[in-house]
Amino acid sequence: MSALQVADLFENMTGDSASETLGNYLSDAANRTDQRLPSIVYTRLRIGSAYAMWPEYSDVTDANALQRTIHENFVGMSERLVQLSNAARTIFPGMRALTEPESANLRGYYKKVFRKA
Amino acid sequence: MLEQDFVSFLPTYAKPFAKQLQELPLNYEKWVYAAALPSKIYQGDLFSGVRFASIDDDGEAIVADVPAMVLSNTCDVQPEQSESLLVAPLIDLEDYSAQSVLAGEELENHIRALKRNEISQLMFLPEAHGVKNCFVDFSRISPLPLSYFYSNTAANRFQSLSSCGHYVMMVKVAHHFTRPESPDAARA
Repeated sequence: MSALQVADLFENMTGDSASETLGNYLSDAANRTDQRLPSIVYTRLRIGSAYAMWPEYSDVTDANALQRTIHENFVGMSERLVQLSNAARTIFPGMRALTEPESANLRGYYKKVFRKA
Repeated sequence: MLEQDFVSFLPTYAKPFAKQLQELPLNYEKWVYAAALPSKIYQGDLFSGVRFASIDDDGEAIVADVPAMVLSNTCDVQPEQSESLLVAPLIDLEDYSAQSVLAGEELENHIRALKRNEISQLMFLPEAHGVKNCFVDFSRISPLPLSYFYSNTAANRFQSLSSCGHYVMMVKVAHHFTRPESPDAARA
């Protein structure tokens, strides 16, 4: 699911704008801590009939932050990781972590395989 | 899940393999490996005699020479492309079972889950094309200098993954590192 789809889903479910809700959350946090939080908020931007995610910088003091953020790669990488992780859960529905006895078993195996350097 | 939803998760190169992925673990051994070893080294390639260094519970340096899978991106493992590459150990399932302290039903359940690739940190690889039943452990990833690798290990490659096998590796690695934290995880 892309960031745009997530934003759509959020807005359909809550009736609120995803970017405004996030902005309000950051504002609340600033009020509670008495300190504004540096943030980069991606908001939906309409370009003709298409939409894209656009970064808005708030209280970011680093003048070169824009140059150091690779927006498309960042969003693309996140989406790709989420897609891969979702695919893993779909392909292997019973996916789980090792149980403690299984972990101990694997640790014991490595103790036999590794030797002092 | 509807088949169309499942296919939508897959990248273009893996869409033709949707049926195989949905049928897992059936016929896994028939498509997970490459038809032939490619000329250059690829992410997911398997090597014997790979040197691992680690630290034991007492803080002492320990080493092992075991088979391994290359996890670094294909671009990064070409000669002189980077300083080091990442490898994960490959454990022979027969040897692992023989040395297991788990027994009976507990061991059977463990091996069954492992073979079905249901354990997030482990990737099971089936017996076929010269590979014995084995698994990769993503929790024991280790760096290796690229120059050392090419001088001592690169010639020991014994198998490579197919495109679909590589996709299975990618989803397992991604899931291992991005799975949700426990709700109990206490963060400041």
